Amino acid sequence: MRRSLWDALLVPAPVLLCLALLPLVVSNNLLLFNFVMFLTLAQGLNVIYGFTGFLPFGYVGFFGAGAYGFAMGVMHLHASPALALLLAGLASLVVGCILGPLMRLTGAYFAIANLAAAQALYQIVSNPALQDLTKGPYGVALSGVFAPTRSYAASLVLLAAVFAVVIWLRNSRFGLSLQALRDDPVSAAMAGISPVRVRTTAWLLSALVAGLMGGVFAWQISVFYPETAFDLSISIFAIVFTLFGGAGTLTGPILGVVILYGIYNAIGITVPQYFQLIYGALIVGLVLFLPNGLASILTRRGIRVP
Amino acid sequence: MSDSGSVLTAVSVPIAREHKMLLLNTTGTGAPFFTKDNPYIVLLADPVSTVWPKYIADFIKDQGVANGIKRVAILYSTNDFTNTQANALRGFLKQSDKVEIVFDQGVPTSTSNYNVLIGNIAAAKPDAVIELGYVGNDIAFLRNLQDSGEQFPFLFTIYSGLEKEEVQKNVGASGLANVFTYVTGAYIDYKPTTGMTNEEYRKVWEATYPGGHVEYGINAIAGYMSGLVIESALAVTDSMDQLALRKAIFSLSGKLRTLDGPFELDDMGGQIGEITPLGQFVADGKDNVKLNTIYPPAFANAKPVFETK
Amino acid sequence: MLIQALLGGLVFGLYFTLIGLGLNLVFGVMRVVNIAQGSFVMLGAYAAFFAWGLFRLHPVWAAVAVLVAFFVIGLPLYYLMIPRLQVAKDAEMLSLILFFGLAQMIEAGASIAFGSTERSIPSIALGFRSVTVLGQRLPSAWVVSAGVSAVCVLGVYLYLYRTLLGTLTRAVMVSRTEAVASGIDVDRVCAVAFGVGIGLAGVAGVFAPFMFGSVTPAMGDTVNIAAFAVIVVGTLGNPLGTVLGGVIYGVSLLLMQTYLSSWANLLPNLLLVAVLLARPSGLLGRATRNA
Repeated sequence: MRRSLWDALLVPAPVLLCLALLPLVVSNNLLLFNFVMFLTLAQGLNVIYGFTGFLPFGYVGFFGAGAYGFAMGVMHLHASPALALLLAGLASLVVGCILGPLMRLTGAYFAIANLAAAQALYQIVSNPALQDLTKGPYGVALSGVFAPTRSYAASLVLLAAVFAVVIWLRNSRFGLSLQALRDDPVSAAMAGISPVRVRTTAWLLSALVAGLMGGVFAWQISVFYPETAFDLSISIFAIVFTLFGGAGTLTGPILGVVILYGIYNAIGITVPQYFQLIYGALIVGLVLFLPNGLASILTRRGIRVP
Repeated sequence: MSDSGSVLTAVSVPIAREHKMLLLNTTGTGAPFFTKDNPYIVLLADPVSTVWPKYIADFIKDQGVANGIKRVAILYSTNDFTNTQANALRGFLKQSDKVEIVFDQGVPTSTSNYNVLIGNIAAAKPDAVIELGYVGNDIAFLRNLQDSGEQFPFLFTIYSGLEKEEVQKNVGASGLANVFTYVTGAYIDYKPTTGMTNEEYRKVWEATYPGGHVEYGINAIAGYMSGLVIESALAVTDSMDQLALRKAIFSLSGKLRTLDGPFELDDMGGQIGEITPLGQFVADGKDNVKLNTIYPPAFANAKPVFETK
Repeated sequence: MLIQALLGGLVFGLYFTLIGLGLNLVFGVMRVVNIAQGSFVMLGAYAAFFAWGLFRLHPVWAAVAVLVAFFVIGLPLYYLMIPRLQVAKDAEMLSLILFFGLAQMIEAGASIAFGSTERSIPSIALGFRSVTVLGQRLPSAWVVSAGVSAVCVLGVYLYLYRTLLGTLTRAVMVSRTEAVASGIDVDRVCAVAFGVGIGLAGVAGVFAPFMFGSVTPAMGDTVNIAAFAVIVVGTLGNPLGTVLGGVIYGVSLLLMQTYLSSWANLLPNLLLVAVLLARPSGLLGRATRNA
């Protein structure tokens, strides 16, 4: 308990404080929102990859499901933003349950199948045949609920919650059982840890995070097309940031987002191909020389990183 | 806001409305942007997509039917711009009972392989094929059509006219021969009431952007005359208040004629004056094509050519 | 229309066999999922585009050139990246991520070098526009690429079952550790297999501009999923199995395009997910975990 508190004060608290105060000095609210979005998604990815070793290339599928869950709630049920956010979470949980059986596959096949699943979801949502339900390829316009400040606040609340979850995973029995399962599934099963139950919980948790973030995203941006909500580069960025910083820790993804997404915004927006080249090279270098990310520079020496 | 397709415009419409700023929209023509409850938008240079295909439909219902063009196939890409045009076209055509729509399908905007679709269209035996897509779709469609050897009496694509140089570079003059398309202000000499004529403007353009780095086409004209409209509106406005600006622009409606045609707005801010006439490319001898204006009769300078197998 | 779809699907499907062939070989031999496969196909496509644009080189000759060139590139690439990984704890995941990074680099490099406008090659480059088979008119590109694909499949089959190196390769496919124990230079076998795999991807890429309509740096992603769908439906290690996978894929794709065209893009993704969900052991054996 004490360690969790210490963890919480050391890293997430200053980050959250910064993000809460920055809108006062920085006028580009969308930029700040994007930072919060990637911080949240990187942590959500961390839950599934850092703790169970599954790498969902199609993580954006949950994000998009959440965004459309929110949108459909507002469009068809005239729901308030709070209710619509609940629907967003529900949508991503449903998708998570449907795709749950994919966890029987080995790492590489899981990753590709997950990617295909996210694409399939995108194709279904953007099909003109479903126009009445999702507005198909013509995009969603939720001008009625446009509320930039409140949605930013919601995103910060979500980020805080996700930090709490990851801290809990780092310091709890459940988190340890996840890591045991990842490192040696057979022994863990013999020790009484139920692989299916434990993994599915982590999977659904991760899906929920992405789905809720998708809902908040829909709320913030209020006009979007299917391509925006299911954009593969969202998962790719989240994966790269988490890998770079060091999966399995709390600080790793935060570092990854701050450094890499910071670089992206400094140079990448106008020349995204150069950024892509850089992070591609970073990943190759990472795998060959530093497979566990930046945080491993410290953890290799035995220093505990929260 | 200068946006050829509508994607950037889509996001700016609610932002402009939220901040109560008048959105001066050059070429974003999607129908959903213009609603009765939003006074903060005016469309300056392209006709709003709900009326744009009017002359295609009028031509078919009038001269087309007289020449045996009765069965129509519509193929469109599913995005705001071309979908609205397809809806409009469908609506106009359904008004006549002599015209029958035998094929009507939407495909993703990313489609670049039309082989199977062309086969399906040919199986429906249409007299007229109207393909409404972005420039990439048009290019792929025309190329696959050339390969398939199919021929239709009447074939229409949007971007053959809007971006002739680009399309011709990819499908060749033979691919464009006898294709119908929109005739933009770049090819018609409207006598504008303000600013330079087409010839003068083109000379100045080519002097400013030599070497063809920036193509002279509809977008160049759209930008120029948007500037002229804004200039004229500022000359007559009561104040710089956003709604006063809107009133000033609306006061020009019906009175101003630009390089793009008569400037006329409907009450939601959509442009309904500068409707582009229908034209057709004909082979011009040495591996080139010339754009003739076919309809409406007021602007026509040639008779249509219908390909037969 | 149905006959057109079935016949076209058969021919089109043989092309997809080509795309899956290289992937199947690499996975069978090294247990490495080459997620950069799509990127190499894309590079092959650009090579063909420039070969035609600059030298008016007939695509079939371009394919031969690409096969050799990519094989030569593949060998050092293998030695640079894979041997280090084979001894790591989580080799499969690490190699996946590694190739993912490589794919991103290739895609970015292509965007920078070529720009993202779509390029295409007129089908007249193949010498003739279309062929009439059984009363159905098929685009020339489909027929030529099907022919090339058949040749490649035959080539791989002969390589695996008739040459010494091929027999060694099959030994490594069955059990890597036993192959090492028998004194086989596993790295050399794998390097050759990798080179061949990349080479085949390049050849597939040469015909991609015709089959897909155009080539852009980002086309690698779609190709990847199609390739995986093909090998998932087919069989591991056996090139003839990939033929089956490709044909099934091609026929279903064309049937979708004919009768349900707006849903056609959904097929590869759905097929892949459905097959993996329904038969998690995959038709490839090692797709599932033990716990």
